[in-house]
Amino acid sequence: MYYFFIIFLANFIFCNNWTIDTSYSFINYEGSHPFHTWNGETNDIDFNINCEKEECQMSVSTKLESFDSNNDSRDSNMLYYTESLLFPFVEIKTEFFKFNGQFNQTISTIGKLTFHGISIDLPLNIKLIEVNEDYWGECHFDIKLTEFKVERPILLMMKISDTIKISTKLKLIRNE
Amino acid sequence: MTPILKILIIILLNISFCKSSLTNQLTLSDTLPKNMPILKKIIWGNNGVFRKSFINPESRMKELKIRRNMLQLHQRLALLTMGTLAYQYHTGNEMVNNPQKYNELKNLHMKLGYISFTTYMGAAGLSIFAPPGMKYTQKKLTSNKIHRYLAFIHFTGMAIQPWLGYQTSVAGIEGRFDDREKLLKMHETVGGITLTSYFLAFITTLFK
Repeated sequence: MYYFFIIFLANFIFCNNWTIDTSYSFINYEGSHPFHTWNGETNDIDFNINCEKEECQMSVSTKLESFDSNNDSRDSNMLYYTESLLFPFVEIKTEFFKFNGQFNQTISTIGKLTFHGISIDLPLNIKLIEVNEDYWGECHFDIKLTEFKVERPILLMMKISDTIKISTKLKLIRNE
Repeated sequence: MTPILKILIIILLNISFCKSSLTNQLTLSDTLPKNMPILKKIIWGNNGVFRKSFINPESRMKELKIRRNMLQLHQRLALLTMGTLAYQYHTGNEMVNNPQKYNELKNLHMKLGYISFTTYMGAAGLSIFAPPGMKYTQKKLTSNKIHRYLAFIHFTGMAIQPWLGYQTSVAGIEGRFDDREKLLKMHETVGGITLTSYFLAFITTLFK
């Protein structure tokens, strides 16, 4: 009985009410260059949400290495410029926000984005959507490479754009 | 097993099932991609040719910086080569279509050949001998793989074009006109294939 209680307690402490289905969830970045734009995507996402009553704090992180832009040379280049050997993860952690389990609403909060060893607070608008009993969370924002002290890669003697567009769509699963 | 140890194991198990990410301490050799191309393995693998020589930077970070610089130079030389090749192709066509211009353009065409061959081989060497990147995909068809497949075509073309050009010229000087016609046709065809595959390889660098 005592052990069951410990297991239950440990589960309660370390697990969340919401998880994500990584086969449908993604984080996408879009980079641009005077000659073309490209996208890199990952499904290898670590998601966490901690709620105390209706106050929730969420964190999403991924390995930079897991982004695939369909061009390994470009991915290698991205990993070099972001110094992924030193800073292998990118993470965003929100401040506490109100969430009462209701979907089809937009939540505005601040997220601390940690990338390339630098943390910057960003305003976030998280869209919560319910479609046919599927729950989705969507968020779009831009980052500037120079703000994170990432040297801009050069292709054909021209630097890529400083702005990188980030799109995230997570399929949320409620743990009963 | 003491109860405290049991509790500790249970908690550890819970953490490992709830948190999928684990932080690994990577060694230098861990950062070498396992699936790098065979040529890179021979040159830069754990027991590669360069690893045992003074060329080995002995630091993956330094190695990646060297790779970045080599590939930047590869791009610049490749652009210069493309311009030179296009101009050389144009002068070659002029020599065929306007025989009266043959003697006027012959030297220029040859000199352009020396330049394009040198810059081409320089660019190819920078790409071939650059240290391995951080990631190599398992996918069979990506823009970068098309870039590499096309390189096999234009590399072959670039390797045989100087010989074909020389043989065409010699056949003309020696009065072997049938041979000259055949060689000229081959020189023209190989030149067209080489330039086209080279241009397509350039275009693949701009694919999404």
